[in-house]
Amino acid sequence: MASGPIALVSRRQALAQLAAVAGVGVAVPAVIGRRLPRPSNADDVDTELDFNPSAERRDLEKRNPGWVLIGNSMLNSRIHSDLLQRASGWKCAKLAIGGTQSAIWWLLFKNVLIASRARPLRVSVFFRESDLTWPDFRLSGGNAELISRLKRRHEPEWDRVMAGRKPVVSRSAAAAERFFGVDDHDDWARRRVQDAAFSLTSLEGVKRGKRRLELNELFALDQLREDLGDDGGSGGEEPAPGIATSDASDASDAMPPDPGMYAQAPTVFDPSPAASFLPHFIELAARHDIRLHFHRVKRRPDTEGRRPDLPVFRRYQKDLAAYLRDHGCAYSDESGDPELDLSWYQDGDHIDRERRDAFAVKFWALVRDRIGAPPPGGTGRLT
Amino acid sequence: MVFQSFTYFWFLVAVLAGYFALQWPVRRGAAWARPAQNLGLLAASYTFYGWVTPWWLLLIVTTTLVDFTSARLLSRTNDPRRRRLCLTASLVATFSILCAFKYFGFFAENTAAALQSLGVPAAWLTGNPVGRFLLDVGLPAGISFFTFQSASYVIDVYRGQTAGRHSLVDYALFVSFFPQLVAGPIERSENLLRQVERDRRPSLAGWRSGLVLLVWGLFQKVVIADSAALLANKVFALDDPTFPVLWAGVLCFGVQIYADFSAYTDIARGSARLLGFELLRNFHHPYLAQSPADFWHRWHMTLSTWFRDYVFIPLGGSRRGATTTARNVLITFLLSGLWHGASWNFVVWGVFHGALVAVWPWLSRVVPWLGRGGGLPGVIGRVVLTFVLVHLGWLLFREQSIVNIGQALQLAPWDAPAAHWRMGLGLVAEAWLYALPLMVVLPGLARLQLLPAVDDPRLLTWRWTLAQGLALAVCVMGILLLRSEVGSDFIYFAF
Repeated sequence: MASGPIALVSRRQALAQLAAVAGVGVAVPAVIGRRLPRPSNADDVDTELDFNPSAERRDLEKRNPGWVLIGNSMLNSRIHSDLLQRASGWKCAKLAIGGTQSAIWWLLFKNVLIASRARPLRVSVFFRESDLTWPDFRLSGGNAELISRLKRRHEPEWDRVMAGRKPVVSRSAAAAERFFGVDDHDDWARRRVQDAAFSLTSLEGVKRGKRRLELNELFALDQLREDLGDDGGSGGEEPAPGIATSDASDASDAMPPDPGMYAQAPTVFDPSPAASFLPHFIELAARHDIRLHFHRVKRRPDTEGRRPDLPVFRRYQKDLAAYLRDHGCAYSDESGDPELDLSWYQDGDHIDRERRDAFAVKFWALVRDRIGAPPPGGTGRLT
Repeated sequence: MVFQSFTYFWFLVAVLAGYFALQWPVRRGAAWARPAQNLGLLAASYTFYGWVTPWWLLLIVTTTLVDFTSARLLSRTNDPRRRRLCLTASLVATFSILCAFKYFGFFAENTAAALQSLGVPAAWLTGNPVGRFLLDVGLPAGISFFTFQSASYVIDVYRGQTAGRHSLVDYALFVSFFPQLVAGPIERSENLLRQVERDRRPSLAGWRSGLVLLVWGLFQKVVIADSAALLANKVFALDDPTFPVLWAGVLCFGVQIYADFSAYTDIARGSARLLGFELLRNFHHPYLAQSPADFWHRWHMTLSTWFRDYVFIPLGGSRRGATTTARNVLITFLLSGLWHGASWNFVVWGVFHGALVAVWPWLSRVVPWLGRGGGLPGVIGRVVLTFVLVHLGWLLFREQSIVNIGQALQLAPWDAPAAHWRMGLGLVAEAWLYALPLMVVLPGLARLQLLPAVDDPRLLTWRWTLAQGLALAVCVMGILLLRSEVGSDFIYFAF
């Protein structure tokens, strides 16, 4: 092959040209990648679906809640801040984003709540099964973009927990991303492409936010074929970037409970700081005089209202509860509540939103002793 | 092992290191060096193929041994009867393996349905151990490709177009050469086997273009194809899509399947070029085709020529009148459809394309601009019409349920709300933005004659060196910034 033309140039020149092609092909992306501005937190926000950390911080400071609850759609479907406030006397606020997991809860706690001037006295985290020690669960898709907004340049706890979590082969990918300096930019760039597509087809001046909302509604779980299940349309378990945002992630939370969802989850409780964000939660809360409370939700029960623990998680739950108590955290578990029968549930593990009023009363009755009486006005301390 | 993984990257690095360690003795004329290189490549190819499912190697080894032996026997006898017998035995054995693993489920399902409708019990079909095994085992990757490649060699030997080979290692490497093993291009002995049997002289210029081709293929896969797949998969998962959303999904699938298959071909050709092999081209801007027949001259060209040479022409080709030609075209495309998959929608897709190719010449007599002429508007009209028809075909290809295809074809544009038109346009625009380099930039450069061939002396100038470097940089940057979060297998792995 191609042996004719090679005779036209010297071997040295041919080698130099090969090196030049490879060099330009690697150096130009590396230079550009390192000079790209880091996707900003605020610039991306253009819809009511978007989570804006700065706005959330301002909102927290304005409201000055005494009790903040963190979680995903498990929390959203169960708790309405105003209803819980009415039941408990605490001034409540939520940091809840559907489809998120412990890595994002940690970033919400550290970079939104603690980074604001608001200092609640209590913080509750809603979780299922072994969510709290499964830091690499649900990090892709829309969550990856969310993480890129929430993360800061220097995240020692994040680096410690995430180090070495990917399989060996992916270390090559991680090294490549570090070399080219673009590990935070892919979702940002793909979003720009979607924005460009929206702009090109903006027939009636409909805003991008509304168009994303329309797409979310179009591809909502209840619009999919019955034979395809939750991920038949996307080709993977994660919401599709560029289409699915927090609402679609909510849908994935709504899947019927089965061990499959937690098939890859840790089944042995590991309290080490490299294993999860849980110890970092506790340490940071202690530094700011915040009492932490972890609430385990009851997953969708059978027709008789039963939802026994999966055998692999029984030991885990005992160890988790003991660890939290040993570290001064409150712990509650609604999964043994026989009154929470199927009639309370809407879809998947979500409580029917119409019953949030009743749930607030029930929840407060369960955690009253652990959370304690509210201070005057139920508010926190602004720093 | 899949191309779009670091596993493949390190595998290729290891293969190249071993291969080029033997290149110096090859250049010096050491007789043992090339056989050693071929043996190393064969071991690498079998490692590649058996990486996930080692027992698949049994199939490719069996096919190789059967066809190698048949060709040896064919070349030893001039008795026509014995030669026919030998060819038949070889084809029956080779295609039996393909049929058993690819078509048994389809056959069993439809036969059982037919028997049950007659009141005859059919549980024995799938209730026996062999039936259960074939149903459970799934389709071995690349079986359609290496079967066709191997069979073509035996037929060529039978026809006297090529000689029966003596080296089993060389032949086994021809059948299993890892860059093109799983999804083609479907090679012919006169191209690949000849290269296997000669000393390769990989040039540095070939390395440059191979590298660019490989990375460009990767870009097509992880940026264009996987992004379009996300959109198409979402649409085809909808229970009740409207007209604009469904057709947006079809257009996204059109992007996906072209980019996906073209990506595989380019990564295969790029990998092979690094080793000093030149594989056949498989695509030539297919969406610029001006007729259905032209489309098949540009799409999966190595499969089209295989069916032309080994099915269409033996059936009589176009030499026996219009009606017989149309029949031959229909049979050829029916088989081509079945080659793509054991499902009725592929049969319908094949017949659809066969009908288009058969009918188009007649239509051209009635509507002359369909054939030729008409200036630029005529060309645009033919391209657009062919594009629309091909995408109608993609609906049949993508949607496996005949019932759903029927429902999709009944959708009316006027029933869809404005928001759905907006969403449909947005989906298509997004897919095509990703696909711009493949669909617009590359054909444009080709039109301007700015895409030199691998042996074009212009490539040796510094200007072209810089251009190649920048092209590589753009691909790398695109992969880093725009790769799809959700990856998927190459579509043609399923065939």
